[in-house]
Amino acid sequence: MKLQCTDLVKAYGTLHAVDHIDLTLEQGKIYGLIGRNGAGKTTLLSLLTAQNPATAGEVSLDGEPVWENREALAHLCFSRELNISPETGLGNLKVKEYLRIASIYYPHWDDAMAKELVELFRLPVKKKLQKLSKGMLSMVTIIVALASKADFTFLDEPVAGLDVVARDQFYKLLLEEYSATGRTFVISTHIIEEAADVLEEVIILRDGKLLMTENVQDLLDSARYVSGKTEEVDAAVRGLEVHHAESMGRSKGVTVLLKPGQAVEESRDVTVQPLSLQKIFVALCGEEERA
Amino acid sequence: MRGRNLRFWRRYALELLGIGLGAAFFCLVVSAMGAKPEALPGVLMCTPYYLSMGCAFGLILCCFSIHISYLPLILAMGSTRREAFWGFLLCRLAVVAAAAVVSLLVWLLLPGDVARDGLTLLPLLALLMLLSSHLGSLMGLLYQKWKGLGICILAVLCGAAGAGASVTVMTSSRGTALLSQWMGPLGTWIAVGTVLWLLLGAADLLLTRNTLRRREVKL
Amino acid sequence: MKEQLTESKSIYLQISEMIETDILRGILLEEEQVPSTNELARLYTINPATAGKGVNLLVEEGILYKKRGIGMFVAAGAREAILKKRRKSFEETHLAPLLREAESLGITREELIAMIREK
Repeated sequence: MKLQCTDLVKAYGTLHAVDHIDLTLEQGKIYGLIGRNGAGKTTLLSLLTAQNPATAGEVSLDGEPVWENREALAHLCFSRELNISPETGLGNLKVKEYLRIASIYYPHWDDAMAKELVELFRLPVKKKLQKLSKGMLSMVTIIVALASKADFTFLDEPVAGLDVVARDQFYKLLLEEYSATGRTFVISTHIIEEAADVLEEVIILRDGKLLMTENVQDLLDSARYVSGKTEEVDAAVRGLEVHHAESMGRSKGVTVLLKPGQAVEESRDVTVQPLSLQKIFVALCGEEERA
Repeated sequence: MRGRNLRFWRRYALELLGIGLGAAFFCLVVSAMGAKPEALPGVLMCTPYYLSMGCAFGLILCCFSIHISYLPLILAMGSTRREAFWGFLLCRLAVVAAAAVVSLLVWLLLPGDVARDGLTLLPLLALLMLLSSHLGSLMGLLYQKWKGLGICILAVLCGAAGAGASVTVMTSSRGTALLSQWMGPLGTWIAVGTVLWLLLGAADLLLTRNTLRRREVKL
Repeated sequence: MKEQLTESKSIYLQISEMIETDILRGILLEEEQVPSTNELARLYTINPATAGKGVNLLVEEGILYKKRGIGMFVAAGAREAILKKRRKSFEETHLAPLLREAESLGITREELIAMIREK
């Protein structure tokens, strides 16, 4: 099974929240969707799951358009981040009722799993959504996502407001479910460092555009931080793809992305270090501010 | 309209009917408290009026909030827009039909002057409920576009419905005197009601369908 | 298999090195089954594909072998192979950085050799 979008656009007036994106999501992978605030992550996820209509372009599951397609939608679950605003009136819904509606709508819903997770998280099911803390709302979205058993499951900021133990618990649950079923998960998050090891592929958005989709390990293998004396560093990285150069006095540090076959020689005057996914992300998406 | 969609809207229709029945029961209790024991059958015969008022009231409120909270929620959970549209429509029709059938049964089981008048008035009551559902739905649509205006009109409508309900409660025990004034031009009322229903209904369904198509989910 | 992962190196390399170290230390014996990718993934909270990549590196080197439908096993002679490999890479992983640091500090080769002798 394959979820695909071609030339996808979502425009609000002159602002292109999603700007001509082509993307293919394959079955059986954990994808991370990262981007700065306003990069278009939630909009992209909404478009992929037909929760928002696209301005242009199409989303298809195995070649069949997803929009208004019951069969296709039955394979998708986008468990949105719950921002209970008073005007939607959803805050009056009890956790129990919210989960019941989810159980009605998701065709492969696993009620036993939902109950188990409610107990694991010690979620007060009789409370209204508006009485829950941010972390508890995240737990509700996590439960819906996991228990939906949808082949393509999307989670928007699932760990927002969770403490570090609960975040670890979430990633363990995710891996367990993934190992057991081979479902595809797409997870957007700002806490990149913690998610990096769990992801197989990373999708980076910048200003509504798709900056890259890469295998995380390949990306980490190709990225190097090269630092030292300015001239030496410049000489060492000549001809390479350089990002995010920072200078201080006579020293300089740059992030390079190596293509297959390329290498940076470490020498007396040049230090070459590996980078974390978060640092690579900052190097790729933080540079426009430095101009 | 299969499976899951039906299950959701059936539940919602039952909840809505529950509101109508609850309101009817409340009105019954209120009017029974002031009545003498021998007048109780008369009070009981008015149940359909209370039920219709209760359902009309419930329909205004629920059709409003369906637009605000439930439609985005079920779209977020994978309902198609078409399913949501038809589910919403059938849910309302089912509530009106159920209320009308209950009224019919009550008046058939408790024959008398009130029942005779009631049976004649039944189409008008059904029209009233249908109109309420469209009004509530239109308010919901308005609210999405202009928050304040929608709320104002909703408040006015609910006030009117409440006033209507209390007038019904107060006058119904006086029997058919008031109703007979309505009976004369009944045909005209029904005609006016039908025209209104067609107009509002068409506007509501058209707008609901078009908004649903473009609706963006926010929770 | 109880070491912590660090950020300074690819996770799959760390996974394969940890398995190697366990073999060297006799924690994993030859012809014994090694943890599955899913077990490794759960243990370290990492993607199973990453764990699999680490395991596959060792399969390619003949240190582990696959028994169909059962899992991965330590090959006969794995310990020797790892020792040989680590000795071979010793120059690059340990000696080269040492020489680089010595050079930048102005320590001559002779001084360095003297230092090693004294140890």
